[in-house]
Amino acid sequence: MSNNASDTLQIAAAGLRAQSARMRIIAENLANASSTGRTPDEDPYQRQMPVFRAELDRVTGANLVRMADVRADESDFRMVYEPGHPAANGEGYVRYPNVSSLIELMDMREAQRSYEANMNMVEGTRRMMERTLDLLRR
Amino acid sequence: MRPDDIPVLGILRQALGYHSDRQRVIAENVANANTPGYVPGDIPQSEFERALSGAETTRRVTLSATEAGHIQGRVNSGGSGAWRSMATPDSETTINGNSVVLEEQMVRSGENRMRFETALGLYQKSLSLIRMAARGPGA
Repeated sequence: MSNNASDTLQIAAAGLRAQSARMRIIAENLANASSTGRTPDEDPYQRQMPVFRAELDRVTGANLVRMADVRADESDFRMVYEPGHPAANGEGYVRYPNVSSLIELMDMREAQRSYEANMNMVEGTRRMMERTLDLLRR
Repeated sequence: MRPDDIPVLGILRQALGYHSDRQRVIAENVANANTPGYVPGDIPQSEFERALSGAETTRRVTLSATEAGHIQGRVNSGGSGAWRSMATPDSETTINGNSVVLEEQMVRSGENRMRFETALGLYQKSLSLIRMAARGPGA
């Protein structure tokens, strides 16, 4: 049974790891929200998206979550009229990254919420273990 | 004699095993709350009842000793706690096919923890009953 509890902790830890990796990517996106290219030909920063996958862990036999892949968002870049910019094209438009801070903030809230839920599972399991260990104390 | 040979303790141990297994399945669901296409699982109460029906009738299975030198082996009676988890999608499925609703999982986990602690409390009480009975009068 103690084995079971440590499995639970491992599963929750995998969730925490995945969510914090996701947070890192969101931070990267937000930090690079206005990283344009230096010349008109150079691509600006492209938004990154984490891809989660449930993977069967052979030791515990449980579905651990893992960040399987980080994909680039293929949507169009934002065009901003800024003729003085070194990366402006012939018509004066600069290609800005396809990062929308609103979407990133939404994602961040979701990651935070999932992280907290996993933390909750850790806390709950820890309490269950503690209560079981209390049997020894009396 | 092992503690499990007392039916109450045997059943309570099964209950503890069931609830900690269920906690594990819920943890899996929560960890995969953002995994595309993931359908959460749960161990329904009926699985526990099925295992329990084996635990109530404490049929002892023993190895036959045909010679004096044979050692009496002990075989664990009752369910071994091998429950199956079943796919139980929550009330909402997102566009990427994930049907974990964190709130529902949290409720389930809280309820599960409460039942675990109830079983644990009963286990403790049963143990202290035995302890009281074992103590000599006036001790």
